[in-house]
Amino acid sequence: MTDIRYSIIRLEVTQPGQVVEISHKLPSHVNRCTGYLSRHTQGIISGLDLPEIGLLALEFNSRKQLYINDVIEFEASPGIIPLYRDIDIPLINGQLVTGYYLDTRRVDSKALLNKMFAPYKVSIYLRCEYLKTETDVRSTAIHTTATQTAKC
Amino acid sequence: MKNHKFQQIRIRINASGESVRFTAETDKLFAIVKAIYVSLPDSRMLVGTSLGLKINGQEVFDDAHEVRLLTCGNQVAPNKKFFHFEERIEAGGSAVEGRFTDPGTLYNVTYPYDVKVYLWLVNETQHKSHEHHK
Repeated sequence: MTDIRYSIIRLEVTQPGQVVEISHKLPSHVNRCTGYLSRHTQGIISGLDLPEIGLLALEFNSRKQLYINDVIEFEASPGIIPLYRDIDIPLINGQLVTGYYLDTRRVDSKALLNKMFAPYKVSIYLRCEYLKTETDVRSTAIHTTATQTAKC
Repeated sequence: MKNHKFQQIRIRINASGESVRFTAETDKLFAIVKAIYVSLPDSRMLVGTSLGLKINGQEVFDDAHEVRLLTCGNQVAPNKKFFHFEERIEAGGSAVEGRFTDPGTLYNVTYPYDVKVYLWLVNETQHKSHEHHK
């Protein structure tokens, strides 16, 4: 049975230098975050890789733990499948993932930046695990017994 | 006996921004879905396209899951192209449901085009030996 859930936080940047606030509630049944990946998803068109388009800071469990500071890049031509960065964060039920994204695209002239700026999207992927509790095991066991009884 | 199979699911996208729901069934002779690879006609199409997937009623990927995380460029070696599932996903005739979404913002793309989703199916022993090597 699947016990990994990928939670996606989508950000939209509409202005140069914009700060986007992140406040995202994870599903209540996931209890550990084991992987992280962030990337540009849509909007920027360029023939060249851009090593930095923005900066990201992410906090878990309603600002109790600052866990991730990252540089977001733009990839012009796809290479290998992006790998999740391993993290290990126990999640408190009902708490928020919060943080900020800062657009840092650099062009020599500010006027030029405003002229050529197009809104774009960044996605943050969190690989979260749902660990089975004793209650789940017990309910499965009851179901099996019931099935066996029905067969008899 | 054969221990590996690459099962193909073909999806036709007819228009820009189209979102297509697809269903399939995994081969009954193979026990586990080990990995997935999504093939698109042009690497420029990777930006913004998404694929949702459910196998056996269990959600594997949300509908907004980006295809770029499940595929790679043409220059990558064939045996490195697949995204390997970290959890055990049962095959053996499981129902596969999904949704492929074209972002609607692609340039120089000719419609219609075909998307090919490859599921790498293996039998029990092969999956265990792969985990052991990890």
